[in-house]
Amino acid sequence: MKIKPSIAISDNGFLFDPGSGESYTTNAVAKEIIFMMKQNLSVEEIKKTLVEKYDVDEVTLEKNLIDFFAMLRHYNLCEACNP
Amino acid sequence: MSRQNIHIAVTGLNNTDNPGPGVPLIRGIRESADLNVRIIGLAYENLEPGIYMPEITDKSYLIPYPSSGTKVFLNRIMEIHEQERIDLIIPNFDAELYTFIKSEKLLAQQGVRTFLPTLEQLEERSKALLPAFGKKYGFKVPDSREIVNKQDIANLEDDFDYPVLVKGKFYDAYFAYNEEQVTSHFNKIASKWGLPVIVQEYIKGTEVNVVALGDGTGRTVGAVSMRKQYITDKGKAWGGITIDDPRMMEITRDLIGKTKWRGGMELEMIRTSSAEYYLIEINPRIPAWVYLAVGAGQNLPEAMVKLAMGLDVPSMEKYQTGKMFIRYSWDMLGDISQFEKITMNGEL
Repeated sequence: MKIKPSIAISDNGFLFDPGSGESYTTNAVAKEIIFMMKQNLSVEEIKKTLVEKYDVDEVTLEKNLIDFFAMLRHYNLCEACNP
Repeated sequence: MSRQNIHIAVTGLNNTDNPGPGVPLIRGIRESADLNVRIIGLAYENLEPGIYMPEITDKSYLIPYPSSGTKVFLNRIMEIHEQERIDLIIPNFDAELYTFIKSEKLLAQQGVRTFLPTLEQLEERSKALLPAFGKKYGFKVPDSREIVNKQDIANLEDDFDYPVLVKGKFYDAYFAYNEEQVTSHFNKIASKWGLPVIVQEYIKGTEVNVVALGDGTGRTVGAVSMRKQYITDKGKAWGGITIDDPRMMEITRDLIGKTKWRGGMELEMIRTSSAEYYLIEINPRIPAWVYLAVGAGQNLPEAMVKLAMGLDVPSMEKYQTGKMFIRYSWDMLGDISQFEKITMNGEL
């Protein structure tokens, strides 16, 4: 799962897709995940970072990540969209 | 390059909620570092905002509508030419293009240049002929039908699913969800713009637009794509943003290359969820949102003036994405004496 290289995200979580002209706001965790994706971290590495940082069990995290990645796919923000 | 002193006449100064391209086009020309210009505004109505706006036109004149007859129309242009020594005319309305294109040689003999598509180019991209255009050049276009009388409407159901778009030959487009609505829009459009009225298949997707300039040899001098962010009840963009869509640029270059388009143009496309692109309209002139292209790094109005004057213009490939425009309304104050001048003397 990779975020499109053209996607721009600012430090306050404002995301802009120059291909479609659409913009999105992200919350703090979503922003963190997208930043990690832009650094080409794998899904496993992202999971590990989040489990260590936040009080969350792996099952809940997995479920939320699946939802989040589905949302990225839905908005056409990723390439190689399958994790 | 030495600064040229060029007298340019421009129409489309109706900067209303359904704006003409005149004012943004003039803004682009005035921003040129190479051109020294005198702008002569040509207005059809005495309350077109562009003639009252500061630093837009240097002088404005009322002209008759082209529907009053080519002779009457050209006589007025020549009258103005005698006073102003017009070097170039940039018409900005679809409805006046036919007259200007037909008069191109006559104007040239008087020293007035234009930079317009040929009559053939103008006609083959018309809304009524769009399906044939798509077939000839290999572009996806929605199915459409010319309607010239109410009897044609009853047969639509055989070929189209509702909703459909009902369009005037020059302007206006309305959704219709049943036969009664088609009839109502047909009556309204036919009385305003004449026949035929065009019924077009509705393609679901995102509307995206390109403003482009062709030099007449098949070269795309510049092109900028935009997505409307806010649309008025008249279907006009009130806000838009430049986007980076390589496929749209490819289609634009392909179209200009194949048609050898000369002049400004606007391509209106629908991008479907499966990333297919349908050409829904080809407007044969610069659109009213052209100043966005100027702001994004491609001064297409300036390039058009230079091409018309026979100057070399290199192709512009890049522009800034994420550049936005937002229209606004602003109460400009004038004086009755200005209105008196334009009304009584036909000039301001």
